[in-house]
Amino acid sequence: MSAHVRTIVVALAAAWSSGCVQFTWTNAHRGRPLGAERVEWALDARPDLTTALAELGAPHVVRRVEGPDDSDLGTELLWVWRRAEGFNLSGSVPFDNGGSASVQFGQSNTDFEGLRLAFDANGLFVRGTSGVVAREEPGLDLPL
Amino acid sequence: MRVKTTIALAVCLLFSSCFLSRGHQNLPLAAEAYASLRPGESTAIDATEVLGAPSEVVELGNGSAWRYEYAQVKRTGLFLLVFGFLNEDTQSDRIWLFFDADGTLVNAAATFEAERAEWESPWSGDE
Repeated sequence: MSAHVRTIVVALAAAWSSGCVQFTWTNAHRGRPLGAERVEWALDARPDLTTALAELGAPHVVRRVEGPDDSDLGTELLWVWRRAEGFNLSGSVPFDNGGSASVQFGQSNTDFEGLRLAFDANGLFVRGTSGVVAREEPGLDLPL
Repeated sequence: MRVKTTIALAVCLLFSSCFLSRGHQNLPLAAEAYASLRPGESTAIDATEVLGAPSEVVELGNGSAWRYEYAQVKRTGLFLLVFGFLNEDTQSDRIWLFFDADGTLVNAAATFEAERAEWESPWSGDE
């Protein structure tokens, strides 16, 4: 074993034993995808609210859609799912009095995919879109 | 003998940090309770009697929507020295009840998927 290899092994062992460095591969699933067929149906069939609920099940998010003058335009439903996988490197340095500093480098897709349907005040279809849904969107911050 | 002992110790060392865990958010939802609610007949009071207090109430222009949710997460982890491999599967049971301004149930939807959460290996692919 060369000196360089020995040095790397010792450094890794020291970092590991002190809990300072961790390389993590994470594979996270949340929710079940609706499936391309159902998404396509929802966008093409332009169902009313009752039919959409019956065919697609309970959404993850329901919110009021407001007009520019605070008038009620209707209701928006959002179904989401996520398949995220990525690599993460974290390091921490312990200080006195139980404190520590840490840094993380990661590369993973944390956004959701989803289907968004909007209905007017009478429950009639107004518009629908599918695609990426930002993780920061209200209603997607479940504690789990 | 010495080789076997070395291998056994190495295996114990490598696999000493495996775990399975399960977490919950809220209490499980009763499908029978949901089925007892009838759009056009049931009221918000009926809903609270069979399902309890909702997790969220959304005020809509001509009524409100109530969310009931139970979520389950199953995690699998494997740590090999400085390398960690994690898998997390989060699934939920959800019920949305839509009431008109008078508190009468006008629409309802339920999805029960929490029990479908699985412990999977970190390198498992999509279904």
